[in-house]
Amino acid sequence: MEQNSRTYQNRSWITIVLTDVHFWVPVAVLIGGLLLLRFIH
Amino acid sequence: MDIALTPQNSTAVQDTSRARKLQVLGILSGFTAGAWLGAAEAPTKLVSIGVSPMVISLIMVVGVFLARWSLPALILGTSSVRADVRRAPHLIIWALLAGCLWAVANTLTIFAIRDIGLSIAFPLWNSNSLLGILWGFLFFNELRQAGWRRWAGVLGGALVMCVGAALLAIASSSEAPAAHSMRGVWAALGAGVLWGTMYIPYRKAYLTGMRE
Repeated sequence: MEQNSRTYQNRSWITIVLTDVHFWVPVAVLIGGLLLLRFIH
Repeated sequence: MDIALTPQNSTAVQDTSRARKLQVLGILSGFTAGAWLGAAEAPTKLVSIGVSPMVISLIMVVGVFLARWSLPALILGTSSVRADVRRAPHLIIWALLAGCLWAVANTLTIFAIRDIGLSIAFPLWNSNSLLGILWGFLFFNELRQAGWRRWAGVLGGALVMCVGAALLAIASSSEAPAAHSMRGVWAALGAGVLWGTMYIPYRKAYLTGMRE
């Protein structure tokens, strides 16, 4: 946890977020959810 | 044989005690969240009298904003929030992502309730717990060092949830509105996937600097 926090302080946080699988998996699921919502609506 | 109470031993005892208290607090929070979330779904029955699911979802989002942000901000001020944002700006991204997932999932649940009823839809979207376990294992190395007791607890709990959901769905299937039932099932399962994935940004925020 400490290491994670330090990594965020040392590198540009936007770069870190955009290269993180923890960001892209939820984004992919969100897009899928929006498509499903459109299909249902 | 007596063990001398050295400062190191004392710190270890305090850490263990604190970890145990936090664990109990976490379990109680989980049960409370379940009860509150369950109760929060009741107003979504408004859909059965013809109110648009989008409107109901919007009203719920406004309610969340008022209860979770506006009123606490009025009472407690916003200084701690501003301090958090200055200290760890990336938390905004994780929060927005989690909020988007929650809002879309919430809207899907209302469509699901309209099409298949609350008693079938609710167990279906509660599959989010199983997905949460999977994401925790895959992405956050949770349960990797766990003993067989912990694994038995997690898998046993998951099995109980699945059996309960299946029994509820079977028991109430005769009461379900026939039209668009598959659409409702997809909406409920979609909501489960979105809510299960919402735990990723939550966990990430905790790991990268969100205060307890």
